[in-house]
Amino acid sequence: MTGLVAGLRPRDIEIGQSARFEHRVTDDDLDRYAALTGDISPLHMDAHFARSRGFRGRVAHGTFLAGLVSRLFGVHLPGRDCVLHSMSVKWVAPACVGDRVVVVATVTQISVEAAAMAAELTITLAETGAVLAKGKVQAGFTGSD
Amino acid sequence: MADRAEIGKRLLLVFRDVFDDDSLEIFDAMTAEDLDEWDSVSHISLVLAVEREFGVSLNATEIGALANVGAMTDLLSDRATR
Repeated sequence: MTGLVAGLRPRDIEIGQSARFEHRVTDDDLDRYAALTGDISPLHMDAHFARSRGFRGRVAHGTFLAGLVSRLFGVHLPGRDCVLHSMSVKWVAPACVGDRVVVVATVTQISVEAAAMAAELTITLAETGAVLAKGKVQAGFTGSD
Repeated sequence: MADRAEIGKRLLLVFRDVFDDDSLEIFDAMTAEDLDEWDSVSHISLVLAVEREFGVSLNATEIGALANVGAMTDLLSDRATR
């Protein structure tokens, strides 16, 4: 499993470096996230209810999308040695079941000496490029060079 | 060398941003002991914020020397590029 996880160190990372992945939101995602967190709001669980409120279908929990950001940092950039310090996210538009979302982080600051990095993140809808969420992350590194 | 008082004013804004407290006041002798929220993670946040604000890249020795506000101000008075 660890072979799938990057192991970048601060010296390997430059300002402007980015990482991304895509994920299609499924009913199973929301079922399992609701089971884990207990957030069973009908907006997330009931497609009929969500449509009655003007959405295209079951709305993904905003913090599920934030969880995808955790995946981006913990698996891709920097990967293995990442420890998230802080994350601020503004949810701009909903992601619904069936949507393919693109999670991107771009490094805005790297300090080799402090073993820390800052990055901007965006989550967009793959089909249209519409921004669903944006924010900032600060992360540190475990271990030493 | 940058004006120390001006550096201090900008450093105050950095502290207020990092610790999310618009009423926070700082003083030269102030250390992490004086601010509950000033822990190891927020210290790293402080270092990154200082580097951003003042256009500097601090080495390990300098980071280690940032034990109090006065030391930060002195260092930045020497090193700030903007």
